[in-house]
Amino acid sequence: MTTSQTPAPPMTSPTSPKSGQPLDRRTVGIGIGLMALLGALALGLILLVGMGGANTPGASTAPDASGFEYAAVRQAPPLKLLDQDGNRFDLAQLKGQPVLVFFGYTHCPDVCPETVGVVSQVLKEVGAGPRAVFASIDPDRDDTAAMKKYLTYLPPAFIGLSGTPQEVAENANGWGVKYAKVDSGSAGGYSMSHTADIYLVDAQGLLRAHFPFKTPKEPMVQLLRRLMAESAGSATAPTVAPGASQAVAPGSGDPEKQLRVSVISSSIWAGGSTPLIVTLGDAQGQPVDASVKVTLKVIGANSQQAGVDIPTTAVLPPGERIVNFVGFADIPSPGQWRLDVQTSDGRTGSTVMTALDQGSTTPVGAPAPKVDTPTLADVGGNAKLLTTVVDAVIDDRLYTTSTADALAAGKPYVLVIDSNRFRVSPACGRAITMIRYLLDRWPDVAFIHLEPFVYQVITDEPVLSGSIDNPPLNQWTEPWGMGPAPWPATEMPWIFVVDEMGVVRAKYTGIVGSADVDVIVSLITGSGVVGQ
Amino acid sequence: MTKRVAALPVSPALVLVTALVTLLVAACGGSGTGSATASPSTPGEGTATTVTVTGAWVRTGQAGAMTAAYFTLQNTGTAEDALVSVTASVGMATMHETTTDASGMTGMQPVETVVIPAGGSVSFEPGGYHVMIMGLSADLKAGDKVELKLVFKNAAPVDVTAEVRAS
Repeated sequence: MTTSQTPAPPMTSPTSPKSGQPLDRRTVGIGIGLMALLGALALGLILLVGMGGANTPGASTAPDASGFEYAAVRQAPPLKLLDQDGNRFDLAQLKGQPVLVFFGYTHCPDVCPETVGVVSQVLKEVGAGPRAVFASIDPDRDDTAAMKKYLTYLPPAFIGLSGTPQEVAENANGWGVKYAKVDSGSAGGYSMSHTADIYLVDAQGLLRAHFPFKTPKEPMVQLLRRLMAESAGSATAPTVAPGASQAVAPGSGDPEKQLRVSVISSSIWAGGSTPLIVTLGDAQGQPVDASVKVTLKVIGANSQQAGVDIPTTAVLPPGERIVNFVGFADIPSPGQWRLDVQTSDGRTGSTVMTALDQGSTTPVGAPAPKVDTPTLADVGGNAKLLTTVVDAVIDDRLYTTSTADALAAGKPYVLVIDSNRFRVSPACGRAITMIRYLLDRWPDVAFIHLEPFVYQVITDEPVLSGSIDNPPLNQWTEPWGMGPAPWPATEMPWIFVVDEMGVVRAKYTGIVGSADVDVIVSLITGSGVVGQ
Repeated sequence: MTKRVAALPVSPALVLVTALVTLLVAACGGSGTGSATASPSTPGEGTATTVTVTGAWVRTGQAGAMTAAYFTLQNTGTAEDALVSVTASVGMATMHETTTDASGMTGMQPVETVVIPAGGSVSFEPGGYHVMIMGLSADLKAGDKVELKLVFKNAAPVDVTAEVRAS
């Protein structure tokens, strides 16, 4: 077992006063980490534009009373992929007519067809003109042929986009769309978790509204009709703020030197030593490989750098095609921060990220608590006492090694604290399915599932010992520090990645991407390290 | 005999769990939490439950691809029941649940059983519970029919003809 090549920086207090201030603290404390991250991505464009001095520019993106329209109008993020006929598509081509944009995948039985259904009805009601763009976030299965087939019975106004994993990641990131592969626990292989909002872009290419999944068609029809009237000659069409068309602000004037930065990290923490995982695309959209050295800088309000330049390790998990660059940062305080990226050959890029408050949870970079999680051997093989995962899906490997066993054996472990039965948040149950996807990839790493709550088994059924609104944490979960604000027991699931020395190298809450954990495991086992 | 607890204690962890189980068995009146179970009848014991299936429909789909089936279950009996499996005439069916978090991220995961409370109803609908049907044997066009068989923990299986429609 090789130790990570990247030394974790020393821990400092998260309230260290000298290291600068975040761009914006308002999103701190949002329960699910992903939500904050998504917010950061969605606000990213405006933040970057407004970064000259103001430190709360994101306020202008609050939806207006209708709940769907953006109060502040900005250019739609770039959308450049291949259409269903294999032609290069650029959203800018559709200027002159409003467009509904959404992300999904063709192997999607429920959410995407529902979205397609609603969009089809909307287009039918408003008549000819507007287009609908369905961009796939499943690059492994969806190519131009798959998109073309999917569109067979849909109205001709639909366009289906696909691309390489890197292209898809960059485009989705620009829109604040998150996605992750999830083992569906069935013959279908995997499913995709993804942001299922529908975005409305007007005839000038400005992003005007977004509709969460399950929004009925009526507000879409209403807004679309208004935008169609606007583009038909009304002088009331909004104009975009000067400079707002700049989608990314890498600082450098030379487009050949600009990098597109995708943040892979699902949860980023203030204080301690939080891993920052990025993938980089060059001006042509090609992924940056491990031949260059990549440095990260955390930038706060007034363009002040927090801490020192952060070196990265290039990690290419087995079988993957895109190099991930991983650095460990000590972010001074929770809130939004700019992440600047620089390569040894002079290219630069930038994005925005949100650091979460660790509260009393075991800090990243600190030793894991001494907990001896129960195994099948401890309960006479009765798996129901250890897990609420249903019988048919129980994987014994998740219950054979305890955290103490792994530490004693000098083996890294991935601890998944999640409940399949007691779902206190919508993300519950997904960490278990996600981690089963990684189990076969990493035989030398212990994957351990821990139920978070005290429950009893009565007539073969798990019964929670308390209220689902305030469920009691069990003795193996509590030492990890959940419970007190801002991470009450109802914030689940959690994943802790602990290296062979017993140090927490990464932790996650909410919805976690399998790619993220894969990269960290790759790094701490040394299996995927391809460059410094 | 329907109550069953753990095997013999072999470790401190188990002693604790077992102790809690015992406590709870003493205290539990069958109520408790969102996922508590009223003592379900043992097969053959004959607790009568009646489940009706209404509004069954299947979304249009292409041969070889996947789609979903939806319906509403009404338990008119006095005991809890559960849907344990669904089969479809046009492909392989599995029960799933779609969830959406506060950020708008949707995902789905398989579910083994769906409990239908006594006197209650459960809807399978877009964005929630659904029956995923994979590997469609033929194109499903609006107006086509799909045969579904629903199997319950206690109630007798129900055959239902679902109408195919776009949404």
